[in-house]
Amino acid sequence: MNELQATSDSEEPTRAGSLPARFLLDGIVRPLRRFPLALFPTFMLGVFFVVPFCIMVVISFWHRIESKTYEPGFEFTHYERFFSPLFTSHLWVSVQFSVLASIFCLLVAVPFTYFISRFRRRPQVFSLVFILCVLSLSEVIIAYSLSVALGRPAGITNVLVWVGLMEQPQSLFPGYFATLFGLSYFNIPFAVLVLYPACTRLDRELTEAAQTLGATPVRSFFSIVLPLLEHTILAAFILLFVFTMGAYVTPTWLGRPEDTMMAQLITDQALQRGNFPFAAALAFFFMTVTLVLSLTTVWLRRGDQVGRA
Amino acid sequence: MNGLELHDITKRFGAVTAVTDINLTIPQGRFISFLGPSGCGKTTLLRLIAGLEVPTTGNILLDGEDMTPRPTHQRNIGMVFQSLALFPHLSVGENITYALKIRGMDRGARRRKADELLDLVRLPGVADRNIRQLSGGQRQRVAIARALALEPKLFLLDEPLSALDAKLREEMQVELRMLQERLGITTIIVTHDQREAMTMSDEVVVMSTARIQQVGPPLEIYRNPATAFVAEFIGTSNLVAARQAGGTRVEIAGTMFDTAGLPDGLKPDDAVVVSIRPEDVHVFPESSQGPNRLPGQVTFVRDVGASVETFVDCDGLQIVAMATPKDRPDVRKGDRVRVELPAESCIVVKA
Amino acid sequence: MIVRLAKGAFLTIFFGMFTVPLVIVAGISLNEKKYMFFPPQGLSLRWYPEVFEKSSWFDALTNSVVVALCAGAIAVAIALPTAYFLWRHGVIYAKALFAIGLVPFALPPVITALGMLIFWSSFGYVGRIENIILGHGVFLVTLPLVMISLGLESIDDELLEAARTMGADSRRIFTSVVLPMILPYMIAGYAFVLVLSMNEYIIAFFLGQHATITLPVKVLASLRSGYTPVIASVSVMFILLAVVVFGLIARFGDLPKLLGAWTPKE
Repeated sequence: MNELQATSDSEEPTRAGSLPARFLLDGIVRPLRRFPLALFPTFMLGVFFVVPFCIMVVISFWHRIESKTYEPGFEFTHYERFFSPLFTSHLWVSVQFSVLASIFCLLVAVPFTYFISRFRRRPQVFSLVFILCVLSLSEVIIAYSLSVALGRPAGITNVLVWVGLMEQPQSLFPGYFATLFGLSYFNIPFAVLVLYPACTRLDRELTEAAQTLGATPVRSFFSIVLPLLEHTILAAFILLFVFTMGAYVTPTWLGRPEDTMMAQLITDQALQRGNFPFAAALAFFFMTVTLVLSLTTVWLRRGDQVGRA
Repeated sequence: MNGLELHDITKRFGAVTAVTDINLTIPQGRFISFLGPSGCGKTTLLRLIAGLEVPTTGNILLDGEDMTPRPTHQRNIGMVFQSLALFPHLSVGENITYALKIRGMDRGARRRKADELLDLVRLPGVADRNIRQLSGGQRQRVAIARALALEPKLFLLDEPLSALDAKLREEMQVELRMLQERLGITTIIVTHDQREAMTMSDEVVVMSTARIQQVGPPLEIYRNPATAFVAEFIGTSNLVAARQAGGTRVEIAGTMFDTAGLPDGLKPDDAVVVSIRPEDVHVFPESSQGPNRLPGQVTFVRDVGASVETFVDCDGLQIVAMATPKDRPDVRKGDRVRVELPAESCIVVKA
Repeated sequence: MIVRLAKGAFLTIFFGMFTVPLVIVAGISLNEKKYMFFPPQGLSLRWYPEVFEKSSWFDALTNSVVVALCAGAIAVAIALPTAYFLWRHGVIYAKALFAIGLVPFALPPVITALGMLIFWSSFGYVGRIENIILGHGVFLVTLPLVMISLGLESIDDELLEAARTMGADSRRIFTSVVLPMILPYMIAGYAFVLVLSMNEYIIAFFLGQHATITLPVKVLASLRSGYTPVIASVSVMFILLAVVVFGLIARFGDLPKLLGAWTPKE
């Protein structure tokens, strides 16, 4: 009897209603009836995330009067400012840092994650805990420690002098290299966590088979492991790129004025100059770029993504 | 000498001993099986020969040369893994010629060789296909072709047929054997299926709990098991506890029995195990007389068409007798009988 | 073998490189005088108890802790129904909700920070600790969301079917089968949010303004103006806390599995 009821429930006579009405009913109301708890995340994410964004997008078109005030309007002045040399140079700097930092980070993280995924249980868990603890260091602390490590009094240049490669200790920060190094450094633990699941899925027998066929361990890494990790490495690159684009603390502390990145720009406009509309426009543009790249990542990883079809 | 030699091989993983005291000689061109239950060390032994594990002690010689310090990729072996381990991102042909590409063979020659090998394993024309498009049996053949590409001296297979269904398995058993005979290559197969080992091999190495229990041709192992484990593992066998009673006699449950022979090094009254195949046991009526007989009661009769099994309880001892329908004993459940264990069929092993 | 040596060297350099911040920070925290020297000049542990005495540091610490604990709860509370909804009813609504849950973390935090600031500013309700809590709770949803989804995916369908044949309804199945199996993922997700929230800078900076200051904000501000090794001692304690938390998870849970490792069924 229950079975009959169930079928009749899902085969309600299709109303001759308009498309939006049917969408509302089938798409939203019915699932909610089956799982009313979904209202809570919908509310939270909707009110505290989606709404702020919409407001931000709207405001990016508003007119700015003076510091910290703005009135409703509709103008593209803020978007027009994008094409000033100042803005484009900072955008270029951000992209440059993000691409390079992601590449350097992966050059280190891919072999490392591969190695630890082959460890025995104890060393593997230790390595994971180690990485997690590094992750738990705030960006501020890491940036500061790196500035000490790259500075003159106690930095690495002293070691180079001692070895004889340099004449005098120098401060490497603030600087281009320091910023790049700091960004790459900070990204590595994240990259390891992203690459880890895929590395553990590698069938160990594949590299063993390669070895029985005469491949040295190095060769089997490049001809077997890397091709199989290709998808994940690409997805990791995009994730790191987006992540680095939003960096604030590291470039603030380790960078010179010419190394300023987008997040600093937006913060400056919003908090220092109170030009919310322009900051909003910058943020919206920034967000569009990064969203497009995020979606590409999701699309690429759809093979091993969690959501069920 | 030509062939594979293992001297005093031991392998420990931390506190666990995987194999110990392994001494084995395999002449060139033979087909050998490593047979045993899960965890007996047979796969570890194979991996030691392949170089995928390094022995804790001992060494391995191939054609007189010490192979032990050599890493896997410098050993001249071809291996088929249990999971087949075919490279998913390469085509069938690319899989097969992977080793040849490493050696620097040019594309045209590789292509010809791939076709040649596919013909050898009777799977022509699939060189450009993706691995995923093949069936289990076809992948099996690709794995074999790949392993043989370099014409290695050793051909190692780890439970290669376990993933196949019964009919295909039997076909492949014959094919593998024929392939091996044609190429004359020294082959070692790891399996837990004794019928497989008995069917395909020149010699069987029976292993249990990290040691070799017995080495010999299949029939020899079947007829003359050296230990209780081998007797029980190979075929079905009745195992009866007994005591040595001098000469070739043992005492079972108070009765004296003559046997085919006792193992060396026994002291008087030692505990031993008598192994006798069900097909050698005869069932007689209770009133019958004769040597080597035990009284008992029939508990179960199983008629499976091609054979009849009679289960007899002899005062606590369970004996199974098997007969063809022609010679079936005329008994039913509950009847009192006498079971005869003919002397020449009683193999005695140490307890 | 050269390869083995290179691998060993690589790993040593790697682990060494990431131990450097800890060494530097620990060293600075031991300075006797109120200077951030490295190597430390004079050794003293006086900066450790100071965190709990000096009011502004202690306030920042409590703010961070409160924010982290609450934001973690909110994040998991949002993540759990979202992940469950998608797993159980894979309708478009559920997929959209899940996608929205992935977005915050995928965007540079400055954008979320700005959006929320504008939002709260329009109500004139800024600088409160609730702002930061909600900000973090929503921003950090992605991590527990992904982890709980991972946990749900790892549940063998046959377990659910078996429970159903024994007469359990959806709610019973959830409480008796699903919940116990994803609990480790929930706890791990919560732990991650805790750690990330404690270290988060930008959203806390935007939303807290000058009224509510969290620890990372105070640290950066202090680095720019007044130097004191208290910063370093706080960081050392953080690291120790992280070691304890993750060590416990590793000890009592299956850390590789929680991080997505594939355990082959033998």
